[in-house]
Amino acid sequence: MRTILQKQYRLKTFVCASTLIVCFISFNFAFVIAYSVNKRIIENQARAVSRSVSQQTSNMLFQLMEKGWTKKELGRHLAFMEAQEGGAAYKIKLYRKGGGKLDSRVAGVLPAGT
Amino acid sequence: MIAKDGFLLTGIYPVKATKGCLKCHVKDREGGIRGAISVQQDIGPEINAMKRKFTFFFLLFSPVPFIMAGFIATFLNAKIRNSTELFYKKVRDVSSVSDLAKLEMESSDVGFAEFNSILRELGSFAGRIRDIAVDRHILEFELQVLDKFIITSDVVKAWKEHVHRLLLEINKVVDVYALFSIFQTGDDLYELEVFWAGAPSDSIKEFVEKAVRREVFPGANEDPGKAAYPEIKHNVAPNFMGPLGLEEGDMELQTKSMELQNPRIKGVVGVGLQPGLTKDPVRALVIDGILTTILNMAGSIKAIRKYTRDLEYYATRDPLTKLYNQRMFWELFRYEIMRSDRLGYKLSVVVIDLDNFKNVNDSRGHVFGDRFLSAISEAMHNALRKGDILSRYGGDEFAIVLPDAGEEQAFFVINRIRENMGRICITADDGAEVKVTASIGFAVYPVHASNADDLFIFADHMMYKAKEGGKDAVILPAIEDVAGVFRTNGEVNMLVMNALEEKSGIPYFQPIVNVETGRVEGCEVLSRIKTIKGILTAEEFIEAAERIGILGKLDYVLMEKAFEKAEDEGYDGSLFLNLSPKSLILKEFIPGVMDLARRYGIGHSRIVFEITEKDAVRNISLLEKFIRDLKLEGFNFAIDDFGTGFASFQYIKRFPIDYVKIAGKFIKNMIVDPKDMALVKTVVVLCREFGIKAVAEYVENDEIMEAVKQAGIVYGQGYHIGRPSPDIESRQG
Repeated sequence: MRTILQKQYRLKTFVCASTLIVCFISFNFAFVIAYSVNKRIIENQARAVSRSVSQQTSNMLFQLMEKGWTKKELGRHLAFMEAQEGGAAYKIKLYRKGGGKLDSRVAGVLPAGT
Repeated sequence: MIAKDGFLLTGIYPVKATKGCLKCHVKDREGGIRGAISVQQDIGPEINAMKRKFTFFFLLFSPVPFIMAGFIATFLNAKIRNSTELFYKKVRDVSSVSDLAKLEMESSDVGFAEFNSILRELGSFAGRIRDIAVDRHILEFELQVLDKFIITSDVVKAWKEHVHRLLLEINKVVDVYALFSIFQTGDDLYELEVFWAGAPSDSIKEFVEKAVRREVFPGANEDPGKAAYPEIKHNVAPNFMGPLGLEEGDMELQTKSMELQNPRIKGVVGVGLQPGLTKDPVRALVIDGILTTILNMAGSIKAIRKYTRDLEYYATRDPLTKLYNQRMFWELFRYEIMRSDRLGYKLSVVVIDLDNFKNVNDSRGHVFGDRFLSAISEAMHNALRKGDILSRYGGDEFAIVLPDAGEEQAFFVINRIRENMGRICITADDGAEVKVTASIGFAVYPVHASNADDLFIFADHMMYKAKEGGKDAVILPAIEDVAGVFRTNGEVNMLVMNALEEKSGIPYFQPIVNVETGRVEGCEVLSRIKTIKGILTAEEFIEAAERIGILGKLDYVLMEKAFEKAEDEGYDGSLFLNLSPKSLILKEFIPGVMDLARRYGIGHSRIVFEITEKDAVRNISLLEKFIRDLKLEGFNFAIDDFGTGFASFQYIKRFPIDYVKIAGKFIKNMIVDPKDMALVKTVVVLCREFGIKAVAEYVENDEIMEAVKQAGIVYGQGYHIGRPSPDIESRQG
């Protein structure tokens, strides 16, 4: 590095080399930034979709409960919802208090004894 | 809550009990959690798709920034190249100190503030450099000009032409239109010359004249008609430049002055040059240098010219009285004789010798003597007619040529001279009043002689006659004087001149013996001239030889012959040579006698110079110096005729004397006069005390010889011992 700095250059060479190096670095930096921003946008969109799906699922559950429901019917509704959001892009799972074993992540969200 | 695992996002949301739920689930409360919903999403495919798109587009557009960078670099390079080229050009254009001025004064924009700043700094630096740097070609020019400032005799003779040539040279470097010089060579004498490079117009001439007067005579009235101003001479360089075509304001002057003390010369030189040239410090210095050199050169030329003029003047004049000297007198005298012949009128020559002037000089000192001579010469000059020629012939001897003057007119003039001299009365430092008289002789051409030499000898003889007759007199020449003078003086002069030309002077040798052993230990060399009538003794021609100024040459011829004889005959004793002290102090005497001694193999210790008091020189210190110089070379000295003068003892005391020759009259008389005997014995004792050998002269018989022996004198000389003879050999042993 020191050798490079101490070396005597023609002004023309120096300007050309400096411009190219700066362009190369700037271009790559722009690529990384743009990629990161887009990734974040996708993630945020996924979160919004997740919240929306859970809300719709919750509403669907209340409607089914009010008119009386079967497990089969529930399964059909859930499959319908999963198909509506683009196929197998996401999976919806339901957990109820007092029955079955909760996923450890789900257990952290629900109050103790659920 | 949303949990992330790689590209797998899992959202878990609680399901809370509502009022509707409480219908069936009575144990629950509103808001209580009945369960959870998990929504799991895989965003990996979407992100990978986005990455692919991005990569594609970035790759697609990647050349764009590089192309842009290329454009930017090219543009920048072009801009920088233009600026640096401009910068280089400005610096490359500086090839002389004068070009630095352009760098200093130009404030151009090279496109970049930084470069402009450097350029400004460079300009400032150039300004500082200009103050301390001198162009090489200007220095070379100065050297060339200095080469031309060598003062040769041609430059001294034709200095104006030389100044014109200089003007031409100077114009190669600096535009100089005119040079001027003004020199005060006398008390009020100015010489003002203006040298022009081309023909000047009347208006510029007038402008320069006024400016020069202002420079040289500041504060004086500018009216050119005033006598205080010298006349200005304008000199235009031949075939140099055409008409100058200058007007007032096209030229400014720069001057320099100097003052020499000896000879007293004041000078100012100046140049007329293009206005503004002197603002350039280097050119101003060059011009100043040139002016100094011109001033020195012109001053030196003036000094040399003045010195040369003085030399020319004093070559013909006596420095004290400003009268013509002897050489000039003879030239004018001979010229006037010729004029007299051609025009057929008479001419008189007057010889004046001041009476007892030597006493005045000795008793009152030379300064008083000089004052005295000046006053006398002025008195004589005032008594003369226009056209009469007055000269200082010797120390206190004056000669006057009176053209167109016979005896009567000459006598009138001489009487006026005597009257004027009679009125002279100079008061000495001690208050004594000193007066002067003169012995005057004169002769008339063609009455008393037929040529200038004889006429002068005749007038000189008349003057001596006046002196012998009691001084303070004028002798009018009579016919018998003419015959007498030419019978004696004329013949003797002729004989002496012939003797010198034909080298017919003969040395005679008289032996000097050791009275105890009887052995001849030396010989006195006596001068003789052989004539058809017989042999002339020294007494008969010495005075004439001295008068006509050939005694020194005659002595030299005699010495040569004596040495030659001594060598031929194998003589090994001492040679006693009679010389006038006036001959001794001649500059060429010592080298001449040494040359003769070497040529004839005579040892210096064998040569004894006899000096007498009779011909004592005025400056005894000078004589002493010469005697001591000769003594250092090994020569010996004897005092001749010791006891006859008043300065005998002075000589013994001051000079390194080896022999004393006691005057013959004392020796001859000592056998009859006890006083002479006492005197001789006293001298012998004195000699013994001083370590000097005594020689008795005039030993003419046995009785005297015996007395000499009794008196204790070592050497004897006289007819009894041996007469003078041309033969040296027979006298030995």
